[in-house]
Amino acid sequence: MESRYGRRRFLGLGGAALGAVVLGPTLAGCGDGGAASGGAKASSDVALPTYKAFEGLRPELAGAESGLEPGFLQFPENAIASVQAPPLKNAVTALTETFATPPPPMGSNPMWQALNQALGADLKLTIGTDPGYPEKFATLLASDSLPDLMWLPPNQGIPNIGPMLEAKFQDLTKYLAGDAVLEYPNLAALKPASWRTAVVNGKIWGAPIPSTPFGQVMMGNPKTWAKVGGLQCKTADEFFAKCKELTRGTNYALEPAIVNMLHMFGEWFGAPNSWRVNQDRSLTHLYETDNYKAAVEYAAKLWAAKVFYPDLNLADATPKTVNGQIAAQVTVGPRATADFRAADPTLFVDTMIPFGHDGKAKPVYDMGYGTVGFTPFKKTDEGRIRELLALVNYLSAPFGTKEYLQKNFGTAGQQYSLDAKKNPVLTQAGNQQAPGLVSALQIMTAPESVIFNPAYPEDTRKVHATEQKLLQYAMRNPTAGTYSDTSSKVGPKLTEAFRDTIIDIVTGRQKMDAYDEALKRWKSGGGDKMRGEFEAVLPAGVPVTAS
Amino acid sequence: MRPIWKERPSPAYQTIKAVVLGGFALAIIIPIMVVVSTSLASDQDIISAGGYVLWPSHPTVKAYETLFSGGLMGRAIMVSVFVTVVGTAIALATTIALAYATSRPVLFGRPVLLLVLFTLLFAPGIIPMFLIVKQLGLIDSLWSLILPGALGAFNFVVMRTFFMNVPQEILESARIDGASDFTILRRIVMPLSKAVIAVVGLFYAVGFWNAFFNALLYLNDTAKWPVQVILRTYVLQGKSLSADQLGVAPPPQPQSLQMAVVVVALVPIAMVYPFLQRHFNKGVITGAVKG
Repeated sequence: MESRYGRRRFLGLGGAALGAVVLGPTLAGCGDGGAASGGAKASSDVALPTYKAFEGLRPELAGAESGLEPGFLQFPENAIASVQAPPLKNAVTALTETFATPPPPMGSNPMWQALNQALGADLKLTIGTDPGYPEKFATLLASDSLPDLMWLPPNQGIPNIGPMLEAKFQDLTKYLAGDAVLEYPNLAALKPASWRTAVVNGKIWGAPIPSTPFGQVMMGNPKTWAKVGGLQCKTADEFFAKCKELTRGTNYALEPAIVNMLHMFGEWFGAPNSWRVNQDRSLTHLYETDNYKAAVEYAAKLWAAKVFYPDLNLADATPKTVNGQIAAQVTVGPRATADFRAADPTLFVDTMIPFGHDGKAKPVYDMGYGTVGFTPFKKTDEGRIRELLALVNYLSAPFGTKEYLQKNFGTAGQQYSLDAKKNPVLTQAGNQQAPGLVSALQIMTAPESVIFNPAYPEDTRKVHATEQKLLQYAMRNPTAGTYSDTSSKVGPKLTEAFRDTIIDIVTGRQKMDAYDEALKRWKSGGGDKMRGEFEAVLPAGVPVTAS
Repeated sequence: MRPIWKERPSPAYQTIKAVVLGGFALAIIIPIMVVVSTSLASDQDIISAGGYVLWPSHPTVKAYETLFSGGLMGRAIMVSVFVTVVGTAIALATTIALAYATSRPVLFGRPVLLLVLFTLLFAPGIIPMFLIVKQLGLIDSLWSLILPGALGAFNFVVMRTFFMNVPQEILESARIDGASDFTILRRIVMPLSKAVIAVVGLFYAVGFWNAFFNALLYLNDTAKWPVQVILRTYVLQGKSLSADQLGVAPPPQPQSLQMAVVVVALVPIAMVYPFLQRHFNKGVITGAVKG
């Protein structure tokens, strides 16, 4: 049995395979009791902030509205300022989370102190860790001693977001909608797709925090795959044969994250990104499609051929991919090549480009959610709101600006120095002071993402090319940015139960007929209701899914 | 020692015994050895082993140097030691006093008190606890890690039951000799109950040492975080499913560093056991012989 808490188990969301079920609802909240559709309707009506790209920065490889990330081969020389004056007059408190090891506290962290100086006043962060953040969030909320800013994660199961925001947090629509945002140029440089994730009940509640717009990808060690002619395949049978050939002794072809692998197979079989929009604008869920069912059968075939690494509880496959014990694993976004570079500087892993399972069908590539949520403000007066917006504007400064350097690398000569190619590199002091702090700042405020591999500019070109290839097949979750009450309440449980059955089928503990029974339970348990709710609020702009 | 009248066991039996016991011993020793070895392994060792290392071919203490260079770990150990020592002392004092008082038949309102104590067996919710800790002004104070756990209802029940089994005759004769309750507790009941005090003390100490959740909730200042919270962040970094879903997971810490933190968190509390074991044995034997 795969570990219930293994991270890989829930990963579908990053790839947005289940974005609608797990993420959409929590993000957008469950509205005000029964009036779910009211909130969602209002959400599609609000004027999003005007998009105005930041000028004065020229990436060597251009980005695009489609989601293509701009690539920088080196850090721009003479970083320009994006903010005129220090944003703060008074200290600000904030609740955030770090995914790295915690930083030294403010009092003994010169990088933090330097940031405070640049901001004009202290930025006092309460730093939560994962898991445990929702509990911290809930206790602070209950105790009514809210900090000025509180990061709201989209995927950690914080319930009743709509009513909570209305009761405790500041509606920022007036300050951000339409051209109002132009007063904060770094916020205006955030894309409309990102802003859409910060709208609940037709109001804007904070600046979104962009992350990679790409979903899950399969990555493989080229040294391993060279034995069978490379990672890329033309048909599912070819992939199967290669996997079998690579599995020898203690070496296995695939990491044991079944749900994630299944997500990849689903793309080859043309399964939709969570929901399929039919001609009559009705919705068909991923689980209801023959494409997904075919992918499950295919995964079961691979499992029977024993090409999966046998320990289902393997927490991190990276070291095994690096040394060749596992040939391929699933990561989030094509930029994840950098993780393997970090483990082995000589290794640039291949990214699988989805292909049609029979060599003819059109594959899909599921895009991700695109942001890590938003950071709402505690209710306050106009002066303070503008001060806080100025702070968020500072902290959302685009890659390549002075403010970006200050936030991510600290002060020249202290936390970072410039290498031969004039790229900032953390010093020993920087390596102690920066990671925990940067992770905490980056999760509550961020600019649009870029591709940047200072030590390996070639990687940046390759990743940029990979992204373009993936975008040919890109599919977005049609329900992203809308929500359903039912999905918010029972979605995660239904998904969990369905996945349990799928894993049983793939690993041979249950027969394929269990699929239909599980699907029946999924539908009657709330799946059908979810569909109705999502159909009712499906934005007109969402295209019919090509099949 | 084998008694003189017993035959020597057959070689086959001895072999089986050695294999089975050896197997058990290895099952315990190997994981600990892997943790220690991995903490001392170099990056090449870890990559070539694909994760855990059984025996490092290029041993290095780099992981420990990195760990202690930031100052966070050193401070965390001090915090954990303080919380464990002071917490255990306070918890033992309250538990012994309460257990003794409620084990005496003369205590006024005993049934009511016991009923109240019974409710303590059930954990309160996170939010009510947080509100109380906050109203007591303990947020961001190390006392928030000690006081809420200063009386464990389970430990109290164990100790009270033990105290009640102390023969009443001894206590009565002490009273006739003019001993006060305090003297009886200190001079008679406690010396007779060393075993249970050692056990309960150990429960408390391990509990305080291992606690991390309260620290996450009540301590906003990272400088006050105990070892276990730091341990958790090192070991879980890059494995957080929510970070991974969002595509913001930083790469995991090197395996050697993760295991070094485990060693640091494990060794101090493991060192307590040998000292207390003496009391366990003595307590058990005393009980057995005197019936």
